[in-house]
Amino acid sequence: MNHRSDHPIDQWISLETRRQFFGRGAKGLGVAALASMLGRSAAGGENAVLGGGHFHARAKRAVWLFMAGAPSQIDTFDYKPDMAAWFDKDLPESVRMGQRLTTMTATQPRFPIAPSMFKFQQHGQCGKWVSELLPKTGSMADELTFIHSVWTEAINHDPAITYIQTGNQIPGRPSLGAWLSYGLGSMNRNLPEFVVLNCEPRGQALYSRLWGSGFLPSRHAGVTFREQGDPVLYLSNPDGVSHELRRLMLDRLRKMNEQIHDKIGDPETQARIAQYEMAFRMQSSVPDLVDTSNEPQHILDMYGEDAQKPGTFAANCLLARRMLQRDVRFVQIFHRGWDHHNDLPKSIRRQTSEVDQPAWALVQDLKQRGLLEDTLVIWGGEFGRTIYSQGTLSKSNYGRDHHPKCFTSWLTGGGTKGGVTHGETDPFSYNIVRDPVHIRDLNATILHLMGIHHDRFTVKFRGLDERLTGAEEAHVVHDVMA
Amino acid sequence: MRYSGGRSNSSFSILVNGRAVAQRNSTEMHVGPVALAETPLKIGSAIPTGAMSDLRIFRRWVSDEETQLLAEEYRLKKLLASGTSWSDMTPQDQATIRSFHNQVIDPDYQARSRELSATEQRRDFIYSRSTTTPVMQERPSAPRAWVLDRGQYDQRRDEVAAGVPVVLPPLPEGAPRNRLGLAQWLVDPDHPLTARVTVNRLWQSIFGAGLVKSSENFGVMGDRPSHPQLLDWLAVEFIQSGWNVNHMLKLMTMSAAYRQASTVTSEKLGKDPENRFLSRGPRLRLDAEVLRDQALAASGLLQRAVGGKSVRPYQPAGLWKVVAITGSNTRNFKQDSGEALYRRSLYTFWKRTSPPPSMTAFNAPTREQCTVRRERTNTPLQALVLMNDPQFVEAARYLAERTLIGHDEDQARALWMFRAVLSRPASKDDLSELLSAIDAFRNIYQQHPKAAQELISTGETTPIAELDAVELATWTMAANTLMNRDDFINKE
Repeated sequence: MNHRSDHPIDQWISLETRRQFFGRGAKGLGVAALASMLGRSAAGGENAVLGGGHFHARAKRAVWLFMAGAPSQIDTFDYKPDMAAWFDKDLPESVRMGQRLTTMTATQPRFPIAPSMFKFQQHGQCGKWVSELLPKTGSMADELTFIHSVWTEAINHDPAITYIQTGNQIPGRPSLGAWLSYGLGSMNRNLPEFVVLNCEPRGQALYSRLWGSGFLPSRHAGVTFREQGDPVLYLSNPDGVSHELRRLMLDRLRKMNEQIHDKIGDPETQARIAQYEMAFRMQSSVPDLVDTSNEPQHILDMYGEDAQKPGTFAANCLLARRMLQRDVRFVQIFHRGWDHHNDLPKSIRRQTSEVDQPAWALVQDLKQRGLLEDTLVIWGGEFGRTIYSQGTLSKSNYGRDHHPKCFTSWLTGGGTKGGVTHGETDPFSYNIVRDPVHIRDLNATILHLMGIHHDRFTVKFRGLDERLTGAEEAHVVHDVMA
Repeated sequence: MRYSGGRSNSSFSILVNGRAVAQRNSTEMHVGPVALAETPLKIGSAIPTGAMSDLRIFRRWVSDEETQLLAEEYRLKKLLASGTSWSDMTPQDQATIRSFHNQVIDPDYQARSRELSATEQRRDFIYSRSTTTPVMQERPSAPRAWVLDRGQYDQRRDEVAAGVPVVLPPLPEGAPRNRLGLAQWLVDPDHPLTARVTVNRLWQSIFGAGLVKSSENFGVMGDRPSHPQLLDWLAVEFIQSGWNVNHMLKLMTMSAAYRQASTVTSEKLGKDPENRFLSRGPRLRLDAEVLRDQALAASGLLQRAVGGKSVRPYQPAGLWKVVAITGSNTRNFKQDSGEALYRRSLYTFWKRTSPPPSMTAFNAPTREQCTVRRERTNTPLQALVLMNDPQFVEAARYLAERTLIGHDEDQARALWMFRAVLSRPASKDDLSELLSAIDAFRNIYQQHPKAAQELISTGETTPIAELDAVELATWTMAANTLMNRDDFINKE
């Protein structure tokens, strides 16, 4: 695919001009060359196919705190006090309605109801009931928009997470971050548009396709920042090659490449020269980005004791803030280990204790810097969990199987309302009774907040107009917007 | 049911009236011979319905003839006792009794039978220690498939049968509806697509873009061919050459179109921006695998052995672990050593959830789905790989070693190294640029001999001890620079 928008002859002429510019031996040409080469559009970022988007973007950036494995909505946000009376009673068939189950519980002789063993309490002016597992999240309930009615068709992790990330259960489509990068382009010159931060490997697998570019140009794929070794792969010079020596080598290389360009005249050669300059700048900007040693103590304290422990959710939230601050378009943090088929109470305590404070800190930190207004924050997993227990049920221990028919996500910032709850589930948190939000509706809403009309944002691929939200109609959830 | 005590699929068979009707068909292991347990062994206790009437243990394998005999035992006993004469018996009964005589009374038959059994056992043993080779084989009954409503596996709708798209010619008369039929259909010289698609793909691999640019799509939504008659001619030539790929590649690479210079002028760029009209020779960035192989080949490190198992060359630590499920057998990446590090890239082990990053940086497909046409991007990450990946740094050092050992004096060395990397002699300008870079690198390493030592320690091979570290580091940087030149990365 070739996405150069300018007419080639214009490009060539502009390169000629730039060659004279290089000839003067100007310093810092990398930035200038790259900017003019990629063509900066007025409203959007560099190299944006949509220019400034379809309409006013309420959010310029977004961060998705992805809870991989699927958190239980019943033990976190979807408060179902009536269930206490249903302890160990069978889930009525009128509720389940023959719905497809996973092979993990399909053969269970009965489906006994497991009320959440956790206490809920009301928070803020909106009086939102939130589980005791998430006190910090609860404390900012007035700023959050809860959607209790997110749903999907997929019932197993791999297809479900691929679905919510790429709009299709079958692998090969671009992820949300790739679409945003492709459509809106870059707002910074030294960092990728789409960054992925993985937390400690735990539970279900992840796949690089979840942040892949599918049929979009591969530079729109998410760049994973790693907690060990180079934050960006191959970033460091080999031992024995200093920053100065690399600069010297690049100056020599540039001369050679300019000679090649003089001889052959391929515009790609000039692009390559610019990319080497970008690589060199990343060698400084990336280490600077991930170095949190200059963060003041009170900020580190907000994120909690793990704030400087690489690979933790806390450290990744802090990194995400530093990235968003530097205008990285989209950051996605994958926190793993939410697949609680058994021993849910114990496992979810650990999971929520890792997530609660840093997620709160990220929102507050963005807010105090004035970034929350135009930064969308999304929290949630790939599906929900069942009200009935998988395996043995007791008052203090139970497990929950996968449940695609409803789950809870929350949004904040970036033009969303605060203190609102959208959608409602039945008393069993099994079926949606009001305002269903399919995951494609959620994605359409995210695109909308970022200034993109999901239906018009298409790319031709194999004869189809492909879009993130797929072939079926998607609906923007206007109720969650301020 | 018959069980030989072995562990292969052929150790189990299910028989009805003594005739084998099914064999175990599975790749999983079953439990080994029953270990002696504390509790008494209850035979047949796990049979869900029905009962077991008889269990016999033989000291040797019971053949198919013998099992039939066993099944008939009671009936034949009665038959013989009734005094029926031999001639009055049915041929089947005669055969059964003859067989009984052979196996129970005739010692010669029994000796030979034992010999056969021993040979078969030996055969089984040979099979059991050889590697498994997956073989494709049609199932006796046609597999069944359904349209799954909205792709849901539990929502079966209409049953569908194997066939070819109706817009294309039908399967040849009498062709089986299986892979054989499909193969016959595909390579039928009258098939409108096979040869065209194939030569187009060969053209794409040589020229960078196919005559039909959408090489994966020859349908109505695909691109029109730029040279339809050429495409047809090539397709016919391909069929008439006996589907000879070698012949076609030779034809293309020796063509005037291919042998043109890649030089771009503003006129050519204006009239033929994408080189669809072949106004110049192709110029394109090499594919990920080719680029790595080329660096290894230029350096002299490349292992050219053909075949063998996949290898795990250099890769940054921790990549597999980040995505792997607990207990995955590819959770921990263990780098190979020795020759395995320098094999052609097609032998690189591929973990689909985390493909080799130095290759995906250069648009190697993720292998999530079939990819006929790769994109060619130009990114800073590519620059980082070529400058810093130990694979490329070590290749540069290895080339530097060969340069220093084989040649004296800077000029001769520079000329040789340039040619080794770019397969062409250096021009005057090339040479003076390279020599001036070498002076600059040398100047730095003379001031920092420790850095020189560090650089040349990259990679698993040990540098030749006799070589001066400062000189070797200087020339390593020279090779690293050459291997980052745009004309090394591109074919032109």
